[in-house]
Amino acid sequence: MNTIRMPIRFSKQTFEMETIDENSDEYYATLVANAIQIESKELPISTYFGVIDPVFDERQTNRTISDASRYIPEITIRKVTTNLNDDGTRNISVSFERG
Amino acid sequence: MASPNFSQYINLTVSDLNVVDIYDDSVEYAQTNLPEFNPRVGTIENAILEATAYQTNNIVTSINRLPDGLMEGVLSLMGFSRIEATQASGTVTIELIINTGSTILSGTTFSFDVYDAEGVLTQYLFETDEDLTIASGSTTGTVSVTASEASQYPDIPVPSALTVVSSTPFILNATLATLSTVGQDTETDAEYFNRGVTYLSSLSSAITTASQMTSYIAVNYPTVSKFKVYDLTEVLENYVTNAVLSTNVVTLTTASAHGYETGDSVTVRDMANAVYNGTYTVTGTPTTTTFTYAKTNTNITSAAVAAGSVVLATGMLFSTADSGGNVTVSMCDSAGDPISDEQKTIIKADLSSRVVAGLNINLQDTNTFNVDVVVSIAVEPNYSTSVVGTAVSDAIESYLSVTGWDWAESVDARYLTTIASKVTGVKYVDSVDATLNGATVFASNDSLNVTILEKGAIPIGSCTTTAV
Repeated sequence: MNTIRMPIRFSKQTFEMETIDENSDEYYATLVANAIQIESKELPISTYFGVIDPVFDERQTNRTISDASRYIPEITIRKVTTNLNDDGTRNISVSFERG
Repeated sequence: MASPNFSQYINLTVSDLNVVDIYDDSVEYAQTNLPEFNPRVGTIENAILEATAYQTNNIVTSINRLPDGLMEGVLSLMGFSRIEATQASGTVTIELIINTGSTILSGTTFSFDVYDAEGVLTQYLFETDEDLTIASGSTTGTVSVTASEASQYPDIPVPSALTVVSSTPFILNATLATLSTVGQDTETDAEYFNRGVTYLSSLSSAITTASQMTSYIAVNYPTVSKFKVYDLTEVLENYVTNAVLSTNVVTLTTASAHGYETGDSVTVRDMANAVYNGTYTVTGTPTTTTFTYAKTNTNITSAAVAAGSVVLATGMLFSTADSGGNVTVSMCDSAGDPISDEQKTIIKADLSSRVVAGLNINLQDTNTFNVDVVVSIAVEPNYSTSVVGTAVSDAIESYLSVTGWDWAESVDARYLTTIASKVTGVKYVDSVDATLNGATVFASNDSLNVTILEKGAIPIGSCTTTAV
C-alpha cells in the first residue's frame, strides 16, 4: 500500500494528500529513513522495530543502517557515506539496491 | 461471610481494551472503507495508528477506573470503609544456649516453615515487637511478636518450633507460645463492592420490606450466619423460666411477654420434664408472662426451668395463612446453633426501632431435621466410581446443610438430581430418593421428596451414592 509523503503535502490539482507509490525507490528510501529515526521500543506495539540512536557515535553509523535494513528485506545496502557540515550537523547518504 | 450471599454490584467497567486490540480494531475499521489498507511497520501510517492506539488505551484504562473510584468515594463519604489486611500476632519463647544473659533486639525475625507436598517452602515471618532482655542466670524469655506482613496466616498450632531468620547469637531455639490472632487479608474489589451494595440497600430510616431487613441484618450482625426473613409470619417464640402442674393445669412462665391469647395453639419443646412437652391450647393468660393449658397428670411442684421453649404452634407452618403486621426472622450461627438470648434481644430491639409503626418483629431459632438421600449414578469411563460417588455425596450434603440450604419448601429429588448431574464424571443420574431420618414435626415424606412443613427448618443431609 502507498505511504504518506513526509512532510505532508496536498496536490494542487486534486487536493488529495500526496503519497509515495509502493515499490518505488522513494518508498524504500522513506522506509530506510524512518527505520533509522525510530529507536527500539519506541513504537508501542511493534517494540522490536527500530535501531539504537547513532547520533553521537559516528563509528556505529554503518552498523545502525545495517540493522535498519533488516526490516526492509526487499533492499540491500551498498554504501553509507557521512558528511559533517560546518554547522555541526551530519548528513548520512545511504545507497541501496533492490532485488 | 454472612449469608445470604449478595452479589448485586454491577461492574461498571465498559471494556478494558488493550493496545493491540484497539490497533487491530482500527485497522479492521479502516479496511471496511479501504480494503487494501494494510499499514507496514516503519511507515508513518503505522506509527500514527500505534501512537493513537496507545493513547486511547491510556484513556480507556483511566475512564474504566473511574466508576469503581467514584463508588469507593461515595461509600467512604457514607463512612463505609474497606476491610484492610491485619497482621498476625502472638508471643515467642526464646531459649538461649548461655546463661550469662543476653538481649534479643526488637525486630528479630523468626519464621514458621511449611513444606507442601512438592517440597516447596512457605515461610510465615514474625518479628519481635520490643527488646527482650534475658537476665544472667536465666536461659529463657518470652516476647510479643507481630507478623512481618499484613495477611492471613494459617492457624499455627501452639507450641510450634520457629526458625531463627535473623543473625542473632546465642539462641538455642524459639517456640511460638501463643497465637493471639491470625490476621486477615484485604478484601478483594468484588467483595468490597458487593458488601457496599448490601450496605447501601440496608440504609433507610425505616425498614419497610423483607429484603431491606435481610440486608440490614447481613451487614450489621455478622455473627448471624444463617437467617431468613419471613414476611407476614408470626412465631411468638419464648423461653420458659418456670413451670408448675397443679390439678391438671400447667402454668408456664416465660422469659418475656408471650403475647398469647386464650385459644391459641402453642407447642412446648425441649423441657427437661417431658410431661410439659407437646402442642396444647392456651386456656388462660393470668399475666403477660404466664399462660395455662390443660394437662392430665399428677401434680408437679413449681420449679425454675433451665431449658425449654414455647412457640405459637401454627405460626411457622407454610400452610398457615398470612399474619398481617408480623415479620419473623429465623436465625442461627454458622454451626446451626441458636444465637444467644442477649444477641437476639439486641437484634429485636434494633429491628423494632427501625420498622414502620404497627409491624411486629419476631425472632425464632432455626430448627434442623435429618434427611437421608440415596443416589444411584452411572459413571463416565475413565473415572473412578468411588471418587465420583464421594463427590456426588459431598455436593448433595453441602446443599443439605446449614450453610448450603436455600430455604426451599421441600427437599426436591429433581433438584438433587441436578446437583448430582453437575459433578464431573457423572454420566447420568439413575435415581434419587430423599427420606426423613427419624421422626420430626418439621417435615414429612412425600414420595421421593421431603416436604418441609415449617418455615425456618433446615434439612441436614446424609447421602449414600451407588453406581449402576
